[in-house]
Amino acid sequence: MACSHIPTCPLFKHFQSNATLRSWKLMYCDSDKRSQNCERFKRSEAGETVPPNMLPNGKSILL
Amino acid sequence: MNLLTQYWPWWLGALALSFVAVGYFYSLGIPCGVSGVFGRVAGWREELEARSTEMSMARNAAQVQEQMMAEALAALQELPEEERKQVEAEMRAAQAQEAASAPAATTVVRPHPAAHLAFLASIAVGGLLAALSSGQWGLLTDMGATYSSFFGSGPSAWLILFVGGMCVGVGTQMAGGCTLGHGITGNSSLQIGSFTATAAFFATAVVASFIFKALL
Repeated sequence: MACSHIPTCPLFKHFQSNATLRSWKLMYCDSDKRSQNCERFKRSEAGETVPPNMLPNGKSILL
Repeated sequence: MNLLTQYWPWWLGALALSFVAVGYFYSLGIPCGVSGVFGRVAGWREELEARSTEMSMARNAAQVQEQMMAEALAALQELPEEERKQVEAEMRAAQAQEAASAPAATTVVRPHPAAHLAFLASIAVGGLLAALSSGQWGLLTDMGATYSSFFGSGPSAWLILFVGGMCVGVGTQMAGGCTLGHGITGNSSLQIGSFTATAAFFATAVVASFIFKALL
């Protein structure tokens, strides 16, 4: 089963825009097991604020 | 039928609630839920900071996409070989089916906390208007006959209300939403977590009411 946070994840839409970005989805979103490794998922589950520019591996997009 | 003093027919109530839930989602781009809105107002500093980041991401969509792609390729290299090959094969399959240059996805910018505050204020104002126009406005010092029959009146009844309110606050934080967020918004978007939460809300309420009836 896919990650339960997909409906509310602001980055998921980006992960569908091309094949390279889709690798994020394949690595982190496509199963419950994979989503457990997502830093966004872990922070959200812990009730912490998730920065909008934080990637699933915990790195930030520099603006 | 007077809509301000009588219970609405179920179908009218359902239509009104769905109008609010769908309208809220399409106007603000986030699911409707009172506890979530309250949380966003309470954490307005973080909300403003996140909003500013999202605005910056929306302005620099192409740059954001480039960084996400570079980081994706780097993250891919860190996977165990077997898993990496599997992901790469799925990427190639996807690549064959799509256009060479897809447009960058736009970051959705969250609403300003003032919009959430306006929503909360509107709930209070709507209730006030309904009470005033139906002639029911007045200062109440208890929760009515049913509540008093269970918990009495005076300080102990207020203390129980306070503890109950705390439980609701902690519970909605733990469950990620309240009866509106899960019961209406979450269920209507077919979220399994919301089905589970709503079933738990109602089952607990039924069991608790039987326990209180037996004990008090």
